[in-house]
Amino acid sequence: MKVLVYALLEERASSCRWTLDPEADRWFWLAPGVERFRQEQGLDGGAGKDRLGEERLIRGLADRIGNFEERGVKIGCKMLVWDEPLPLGAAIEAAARWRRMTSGRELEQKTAEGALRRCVQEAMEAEGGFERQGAKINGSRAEYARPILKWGPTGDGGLIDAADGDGGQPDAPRPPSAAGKSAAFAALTRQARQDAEQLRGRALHVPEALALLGVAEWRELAPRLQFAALLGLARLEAAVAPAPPLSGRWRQRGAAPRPRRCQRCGSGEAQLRRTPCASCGRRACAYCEACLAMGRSRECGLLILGTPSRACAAPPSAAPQLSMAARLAPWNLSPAQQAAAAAALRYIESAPPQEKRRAKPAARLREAWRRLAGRFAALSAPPLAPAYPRLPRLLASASNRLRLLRGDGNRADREASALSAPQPLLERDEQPAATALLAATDNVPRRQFLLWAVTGAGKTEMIFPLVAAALERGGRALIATPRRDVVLELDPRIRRAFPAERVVTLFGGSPQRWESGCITLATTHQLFRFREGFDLVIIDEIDAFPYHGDPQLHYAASRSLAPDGATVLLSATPPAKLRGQARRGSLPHARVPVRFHGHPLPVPAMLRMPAVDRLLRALRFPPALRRALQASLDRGAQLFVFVQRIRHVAPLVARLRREFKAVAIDGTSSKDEERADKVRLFRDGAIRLLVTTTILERGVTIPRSDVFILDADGRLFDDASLIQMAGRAGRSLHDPAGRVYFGAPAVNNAQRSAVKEIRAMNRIAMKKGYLKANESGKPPAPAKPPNAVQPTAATPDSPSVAPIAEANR
Amino acid sequence: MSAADLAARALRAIRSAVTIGCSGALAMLSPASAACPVCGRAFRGQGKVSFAGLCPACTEAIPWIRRIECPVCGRPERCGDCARRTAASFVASRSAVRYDASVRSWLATYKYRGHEALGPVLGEMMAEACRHLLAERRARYPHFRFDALVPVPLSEERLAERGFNQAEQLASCVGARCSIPVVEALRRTRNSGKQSYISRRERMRNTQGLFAADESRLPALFLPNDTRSRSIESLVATFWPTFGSSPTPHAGQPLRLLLIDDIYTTGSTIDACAGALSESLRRLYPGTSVEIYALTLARS
Ligand SMILES: [Zn+2]
Ligand SMILES: [Zn+2]
Ligand SMILES: [Zn+2]
Ligand SMILES: [Zn+2]
Repeated sequence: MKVLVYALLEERASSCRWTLDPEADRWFWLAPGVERFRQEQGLDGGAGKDRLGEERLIRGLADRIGNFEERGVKIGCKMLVWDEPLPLGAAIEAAARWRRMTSGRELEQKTAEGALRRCVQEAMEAEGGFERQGAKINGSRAEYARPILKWGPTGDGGLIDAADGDGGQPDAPRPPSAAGKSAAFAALTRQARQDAEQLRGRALHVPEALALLGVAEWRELAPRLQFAALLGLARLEAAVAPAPPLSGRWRQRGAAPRPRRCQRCGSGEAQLRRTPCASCGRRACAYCEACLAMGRSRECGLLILGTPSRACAAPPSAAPQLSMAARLAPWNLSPAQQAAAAAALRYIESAPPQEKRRAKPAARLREAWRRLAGRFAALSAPPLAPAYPRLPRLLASASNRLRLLRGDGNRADREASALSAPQPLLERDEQPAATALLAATDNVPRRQFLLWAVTGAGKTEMIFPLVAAALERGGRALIATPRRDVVLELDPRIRRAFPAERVVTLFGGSPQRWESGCITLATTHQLFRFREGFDLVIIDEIDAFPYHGDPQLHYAASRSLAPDGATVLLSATPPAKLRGQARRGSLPHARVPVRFHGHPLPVPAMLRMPAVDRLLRALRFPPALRRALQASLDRGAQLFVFVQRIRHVAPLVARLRREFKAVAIDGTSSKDEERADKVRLFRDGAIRLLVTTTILERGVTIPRSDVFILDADGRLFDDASLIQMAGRAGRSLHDPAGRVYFGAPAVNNAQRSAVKEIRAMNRIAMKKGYLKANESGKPPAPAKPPNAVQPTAATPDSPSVAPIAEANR
Repeated sequence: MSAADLAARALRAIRSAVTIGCSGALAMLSPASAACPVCGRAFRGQGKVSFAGLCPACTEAIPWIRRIECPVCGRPERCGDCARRTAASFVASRSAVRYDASVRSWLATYKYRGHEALGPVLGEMMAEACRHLLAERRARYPHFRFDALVPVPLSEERLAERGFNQAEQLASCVGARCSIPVVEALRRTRNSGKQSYISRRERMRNTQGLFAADESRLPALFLPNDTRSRSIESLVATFWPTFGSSPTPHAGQPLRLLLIDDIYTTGSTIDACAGALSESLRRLYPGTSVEIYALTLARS
């Protein structure tokens, strides 16, 4: 899109800005009558429900009221408006160039016109804005001279074009009367506040914002958004933009363009494609291919950012301090679940680790300090020297704000500093440095806690108290998972656990797509549409596709967390990197080594057998496999038979049907359109043996089930996926000792490591006393290795079926 | 061997080199060169049938229209529409593929999601159909050629919103592959034009409805090939006077235009565009005979 650029000239300050709707800015900067408006709106009281929003609004207004109270209409700020819309990127660049060129100091109108002309021309040249106009202006920027409109206020409350003649514009709308203006201003502000409430915590493209706010036309939305932005209730950015240049070295004319980044998914140049663009008129406008499925991020497209979620991280001092046990009691957790949930809660409610936060962006902070100092130097430079009576206050609030950005000082402090007397000059002046800093703190790893819970541990129940605690603090909680089917399965459970709360479930095509609630349940892809929206982010199945190994989704997840919030990661098989961090102690975590029913995990037994390819070609069915399958069928179990390849499913089903004629056998895979039906039949017991690929490695829970993993040495099964598949067995309290077989001609590292992991968890469970006593009354075989408690088919006299310990050592 | 034969041979060689070069460039343009531009899956496609860099599965899924039942609208089934139609403004219309579920999703990804990387792939499909249409016509009229491709326009509002006109992108692909110049000779009458045009625009709306010829661009249809575009033909022609492109319309040949759009549904868009073009051409260039054809990606 294209936007208008203007320079705002004030006493002792100047800035260059861009706008979606110049009339909104004209009102905002030039119309008097804001004072009365503030009284009407009761903004001085500030005791509303929405404290943070109110404060932001007051700050925004104070900023502009300062212009009138202190300098008054007589001094008169002025707007110099470049009379041609520029591509968004060029407009942003022009504003940045103004800051560098003028350091934001006061300028004479004539000087300012020259500066504006130069900024716009250089920005257009740098950002490729001339490409389309090329023919018109013969490629020479010297000829790219558009009239500059001059707008200024009059003494009696009306607006005129500023008085020096050559800037008349015939088609600019005449400003309305003072009274009409005030009413319109009030209405717009009300509307902007409502919009801001809905935009809170979101990061949206224009079509998404139209859908969220229920607006049909961009023409209608543009002034509302612009007003919200002016009031500090929303931020408007380019969806694909150059990384903020923190180094202080600026691109010279003719140098290579700065690399761009998708501001929504974090993708760099490798994921960007440049095409001619009719929206901004440039021949090479970049868009992001990585997050295309969630709507197109374009260089000249807007990213609309709402204010962060409003809750504070510190537990409210007024709230009754219940003991941890009392807080967990309502959720009916097992001892192992309780211990883990308590550890997570304690971590979430502890103060943010400030040392860490400060350590990382230190260099960037220094840089920002340097620039701020430069700003003050500019303020005190000779031409401006006559008046800086407010400098002490400015300096005080500057250090306050820096403290805020560093994350030290408590929240009350911050609120106080934010609310302290109007600081018009500093507030605006300091903005670029502040945004750069906010960007810097984005790189700081936010607080993360890993809940490492074995399959069948009851993860969902453990997150209930965490969610409840977040809601009690007035925050918003997000439960995200990579898989849509898991979202659909969690939905009723969450709603049952929190009947009084508003739960919103988001996935592609979800009917609740544009609703907001206290609890949001979403696929990880939906997180692209949030920014600092949640005080608690829980990500389930972090090692599952597509979240695992997708940097865009990780970026989106980290950005969806409010600055003081915490992330809880859930997995039975965390990726190696997180496991390492947990072991080294750099990632706070809690392990849940035991299933909710208190029985140990079934330890896989090794089943020597040929590879499936050979099995299918051989005439004889491997007797060891037949015996094990028959034993499982005889004990009345449902059998999962996992294979590596989709192409193995059908022939293996046929082969098994021949071998076990009386048994209902079927197969499924990701390419099977009847998968859902077959899974249902399997759940119902109408299918006794289901041949499947890893597509069913998670999520499907069958009460009495045994697991056969064929080609367990194949390269598609890693230790995590082996553990997940093994985790399908023994889930129910009534049949806790399901059987698991690794069927393969050889034992490889993945199998060894999976077994090691399972045994380790069982050992920890035993050591901590989480394992339940048997029916016989004695704890399950404390002296023997855990696999001894498992009624395995690996009878000692069967040579081909041996516990894995014997098989590989 | 005559000079013309030599020239034709040289031309063929250059053209095939260009085609190979283009598909090579296509492969390099996509961010991960091994990934299929349609489904995004990486594939090892060496030696397998691959169309425009698509993976074997997607290549398989292209629902080509190979057999044409209706000679007018190019429908693969028997066609009542064209038998009933009394006066179509176009001679014939052809489509590359049927509008089935996969084409529908490809077009949606391309147009509405804005995955412009698909443009060259879909354009390649249309170029294929364009070559067939040319072959079909040349069987009857050996000197048959199109003088220009005319994309169906978008409204300015839609264009600004979407950022690109799919018909224009597809037309420039076909134009590059088949060496036919693209002339944007049409515009939408609504949401477009300047204040001073309003009276004429009103008139257009009354007579033609949604589309009007952009009369400032019409002369471009009559320019000789080499001044309109830097096509291979024009380059060869410059250095090979005996094979030089004759001024258009060449002796005894009508001006032949090929309208380009993404989908042919009822044919009303194509008909309106053809009507608007031929009306303006008749009025402004009374002596010229005009034949208008249409080529769309998909036939629903
Ligand atoms: Zn992106
Ligand atoms: Zn653009
Ligand atoms: Zn494909
Ligand atoms: Zn027909």
